[in-house]
Amino acid sequence: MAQYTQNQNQFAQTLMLGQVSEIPNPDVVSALFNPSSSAVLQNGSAVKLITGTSPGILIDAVSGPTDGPVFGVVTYNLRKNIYSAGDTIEVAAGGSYVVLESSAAIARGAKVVSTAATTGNDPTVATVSSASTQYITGTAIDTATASGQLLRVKIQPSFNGTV
Amino acid sequence: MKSVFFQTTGYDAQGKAIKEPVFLKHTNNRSIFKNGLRENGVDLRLNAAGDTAESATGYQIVTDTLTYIKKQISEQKFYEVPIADFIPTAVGDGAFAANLLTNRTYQVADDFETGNIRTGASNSRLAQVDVAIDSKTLKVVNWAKAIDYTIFDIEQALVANNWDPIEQKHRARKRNWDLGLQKSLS
Repeated sequence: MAQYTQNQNQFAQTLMLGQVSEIPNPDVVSALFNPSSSAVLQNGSAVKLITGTSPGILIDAVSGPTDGPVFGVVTYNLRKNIYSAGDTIEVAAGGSYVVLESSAAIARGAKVVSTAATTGNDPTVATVSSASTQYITGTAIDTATASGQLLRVKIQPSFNGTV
Repeated sequence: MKSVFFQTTGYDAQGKAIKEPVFLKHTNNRSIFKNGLRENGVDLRLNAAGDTAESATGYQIVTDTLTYIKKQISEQKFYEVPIADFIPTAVGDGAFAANLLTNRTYQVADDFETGNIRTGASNSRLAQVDVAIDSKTLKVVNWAKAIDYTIFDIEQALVANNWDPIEQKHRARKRNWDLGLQKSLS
């Protein structure tokens, strides 16, 4: 799946991946991307808390639906949306509304899990398929009818190994 | 010390001066070497993970000493129609009411020929016209959208290039309103 881009000629304005919605969001925090991580993070990526020495909130990428628990997702910002290890990143945690990208059709109200970004490919969300092994990122507020669509997700992470 | 000044290089269609940045002695600490040190070798990470490639969003863009940042910014184009040219538009009429009640008046009459008479003498009966009125009530929808920005965004965007996020965010919200009205009236 390619990266979501804007078009210069449009009939209507369109959303951006990782854009926060329904402001004010109750819990957007600045966190430190694990300096020794080899993962790719961008707007819309799910992140988790990790152990380690850090004066701030130390996070790393969630590698897939079975990695977690999810702490929040990386929000869109004006400056740069692809992150290196060691960058400080704004993360929308529980209770926030964030625009994320679907990897398949998603019904409104479905619990969704995150798939990690790779270089040149956006992170995506999909309806949970294995309730006992996957970590929930949040609840779909809008409906997606196919892959590659942007929808609002209310971030509501599960904090154990089951839904 | 300023590294750049803006020089007028021409005029646009409105007669407004087009100004282009001219780079002076140094280039604002941008370097083609890793971490700005020659001994580290040339920085070739332009499209590597962690760096913003040209087509990606963000005002932090990897450049080298021969990169010239154009003054003019290419803006989006939207399909727009001047609504008031086609539909009577009363701006602000009852804007903060809960409902808008519009009365509709009607002229009630039979065919024109039912009024044919000879002289109307002897208290002859005459056909009659009348009027009627009804009303249509519409709810007023309140609409609001927010924009926000931080001092860091404003200052860093201005340093990085010539983009003013505050102006653009206000314009984006106004455009959202304009296109929304156009959509709901079409």
